[in-house]
Amino acid sequence: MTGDTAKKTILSDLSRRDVIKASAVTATLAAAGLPAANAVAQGKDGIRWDKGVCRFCGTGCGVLVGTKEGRVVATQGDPDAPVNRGLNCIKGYFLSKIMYGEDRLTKPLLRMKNGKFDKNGDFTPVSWDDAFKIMAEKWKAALKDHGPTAVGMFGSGQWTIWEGYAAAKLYKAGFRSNNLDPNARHCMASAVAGFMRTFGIDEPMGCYDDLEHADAFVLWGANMAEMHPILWSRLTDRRLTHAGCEVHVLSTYEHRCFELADNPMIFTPQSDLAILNYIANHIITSGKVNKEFVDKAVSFHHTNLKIGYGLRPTHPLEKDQENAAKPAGMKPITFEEYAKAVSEYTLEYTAKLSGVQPDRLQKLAELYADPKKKVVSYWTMGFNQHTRGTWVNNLVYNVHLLVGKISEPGNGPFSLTGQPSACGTAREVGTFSHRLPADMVVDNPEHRAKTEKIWQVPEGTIPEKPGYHAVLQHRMLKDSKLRAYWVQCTNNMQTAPNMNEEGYPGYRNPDTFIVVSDPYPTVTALAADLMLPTAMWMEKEGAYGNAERRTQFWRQQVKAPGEARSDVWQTIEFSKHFKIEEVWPEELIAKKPEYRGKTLYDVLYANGVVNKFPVSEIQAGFDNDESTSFGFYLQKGLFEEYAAFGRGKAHDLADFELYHKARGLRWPVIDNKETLWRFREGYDPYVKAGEGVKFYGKKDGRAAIIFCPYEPAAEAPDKEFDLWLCTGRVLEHWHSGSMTRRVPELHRSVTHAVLFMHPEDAQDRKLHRGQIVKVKTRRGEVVTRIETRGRNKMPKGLVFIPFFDESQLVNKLTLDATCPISKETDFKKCACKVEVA
Amino acid sequence: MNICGVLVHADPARIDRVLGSLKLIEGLEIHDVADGARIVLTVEDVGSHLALDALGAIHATDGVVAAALVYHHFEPAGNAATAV
Repeated sequence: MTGDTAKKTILSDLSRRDVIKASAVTATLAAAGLPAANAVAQGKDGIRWDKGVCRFCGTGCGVLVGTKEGRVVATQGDPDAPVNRGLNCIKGYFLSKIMYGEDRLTKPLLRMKNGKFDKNGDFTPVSWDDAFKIMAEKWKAALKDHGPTAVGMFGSGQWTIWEGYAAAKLYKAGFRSNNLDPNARHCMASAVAGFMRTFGIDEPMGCYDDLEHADAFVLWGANMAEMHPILWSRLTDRRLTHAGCEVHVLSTYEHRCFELADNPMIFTPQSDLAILNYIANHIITSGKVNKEFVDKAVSFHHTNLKIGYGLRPTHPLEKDQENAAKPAGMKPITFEEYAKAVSEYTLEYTAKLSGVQPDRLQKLAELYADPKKKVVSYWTMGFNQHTRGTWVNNLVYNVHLLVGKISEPGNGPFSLTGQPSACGTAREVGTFSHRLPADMVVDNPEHRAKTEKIWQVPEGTIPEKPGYHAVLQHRMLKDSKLRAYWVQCTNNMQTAPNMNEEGYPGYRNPDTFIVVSDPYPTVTALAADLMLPTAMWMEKEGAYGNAERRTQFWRQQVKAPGEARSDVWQTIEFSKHFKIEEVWPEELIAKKPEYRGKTLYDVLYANGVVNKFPVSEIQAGFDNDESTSFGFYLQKGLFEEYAAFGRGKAHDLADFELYHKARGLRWPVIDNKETLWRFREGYDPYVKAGEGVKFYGKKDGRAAIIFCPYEPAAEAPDKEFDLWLCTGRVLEHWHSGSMTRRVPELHRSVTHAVLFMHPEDAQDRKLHRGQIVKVKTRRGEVVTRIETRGRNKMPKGLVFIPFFDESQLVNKLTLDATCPISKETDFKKCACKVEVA
Repeated sequence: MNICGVLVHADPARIDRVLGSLKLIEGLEIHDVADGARIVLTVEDVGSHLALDALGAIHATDGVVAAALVYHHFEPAGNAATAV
């Protein structure tokens, strides 16, 4: 480079830097509500901007995505997005980088030795055709020798809506196996089960607008400051600007939300069950029951007891659990019987059990009881990842229902979600092992019949028995019951519990064939037999549904690298490898003889509905690689077929094209109008004039108050394993870190997981801050460092370790105990000890 | 090139101290302060000081209530020389 050229380059670089910085300042001024020339840094610098959705948590922030020369180079909080109003959290920093990690997978890789598949071979590049051939061979063998229950799939709350829908069709109708479950099982299955039991219909009745209407917020096992920072900033605004606004924070350790807490409460793990019953007891005994509401809109029940802990049936804790087979069962009771049941949860008893100061518990109970205070309760994993996760969801509804603080602006219980489409894909599409679209379930003959009709498959195609859920899938892989298994869009080897005893032995079992589709060689992909390279985020057209029922779309902005293909392409392309005769029995084919000789692709996707819209209708000016490959507008066809399930059933979605124009819409969408608060006249079009409040998910229109008692955790500290172990997430990394830990500069600056511990607990064990230690449980051990200061302050007797770090696989430690109703793992409670490494 | 536009909410009672602390962060530039609480700033990679570290440092600053990323521009080194 000559001196002149170098000077010119530096100058142009400088001026370019100034232009970019000016754009950054302009956008930030606008987000701050300060005068700026133009809120959106449009048009400058040759960047094409388009609306998108953040790839990370369930908040569902709108982002503007800037592309230049086929690459995403910039992102901006979307000022027109109602969720985040121009802001993003720190994780937004990674958005323009997550697709460009140096170790992106660009070719299928099969374990091979001597030119052939070998479970103990080395990963070797193969063509897509060869990858699908070996997969089809393994799937056909499993189906032929062991039947449909021998094939399975593990999906994701990060799948786009159509990815989940296409997979559900392939498994439940194509392979006739319900062994399809999403990683959302680990994340909000308890919330789903809680909604279904109490309301008979899934997902929150309120929305984020409650943040600007409430007088008080109660956080139950939710660290919003770190996990939902944008919602936290809205909550902070309300707390600082609305006179009398209160924030109550409950947790088993002190985290960043405590900085804003007016009533901080650290409770002994599992005692949240007792605290909620105490609040109900306080409401009743202080005469604060909203009688009019309760008489009109509520029924009372007692839950089944002796339901076990979701462990293997041979586990001692599963003995004599007479209701293990019907854990969700309940019987009707009277209000008086309910009042008597909660009466044992006195302030004195609850304070002793929970370790919370009585005055703080009372202050919390009085808040819920006060008819003048509008209260929103938030929770995430503290409630959901709980061996009584469904119960604890039911219990918070009990409290809101007793006082009628629900389904109106500023009043309501609200389950937050951790993944961008846990609601939109996992829940609404029904990719759980027991579910079908729009809240329907496989063990209901009417629901199966309706699904079979929309899918144009013969009656009896969908099996009635629920399939293997997430935790059971690993057990069944280990036991050779599940043999051909496909994981898409999730890092489940790292994130599922009890990796040493269940997950890893299952994947490496010589009887199993494991396929993992991912953009990166994650811990899960590296444990597989075949890795498939996946197109991600802006490399495909997508749709997510967030925690407030908001469905949001984006267009494909860039091409995927190498031979990477989206999950929906992979699923549908794979279906071409199966003739109907290879997967369905003769008696089923006899009901639709016209399907004879056809492939699963012909029957499920080229069915006149999914392939209805021509390629000429794809979004003008944007690529759509899947539609080009199949020859029709795939996403539109899948979406419109899927939307037929919910329209007229209180799950109404708008027309496909409207979502490409709007910044998301909250269902039910009726006459192009979204619904902000469900179940209340004036807000919800499904509640007729004069009905007031109607919980129409239940046949009698009444929400169920369900008494559920306090019961101990599956594994508590004892003499040998003397500490509670809690696992979870951090602000800077998203979940297992498979995307956020691929940014090159992180290798220089950050950071491994640390074990947060009370200084006296460290001292008692003759350990000190920064020391390398071993954390041991009955299942495994992990080496880490001790942190006695910092953002998380532990009470004595409890330690916390995050799970983002693949060099410290904390799920070697965790116990695979689940809520027996929701089948969601309790990642928050098991017993451990900490020793010098 | 790695530039972020960041909006910081500070505790109004501690704004001066917050501004003082933020100014010490390498690669951080303050552009505006509104209502004694909202700070508009940019961070960028400067030598071995990374924008990402600056974001972490902002969050760790006493008196910062919330920090939000509004704008992020990132290009690998090779692309930075492209003329505007």
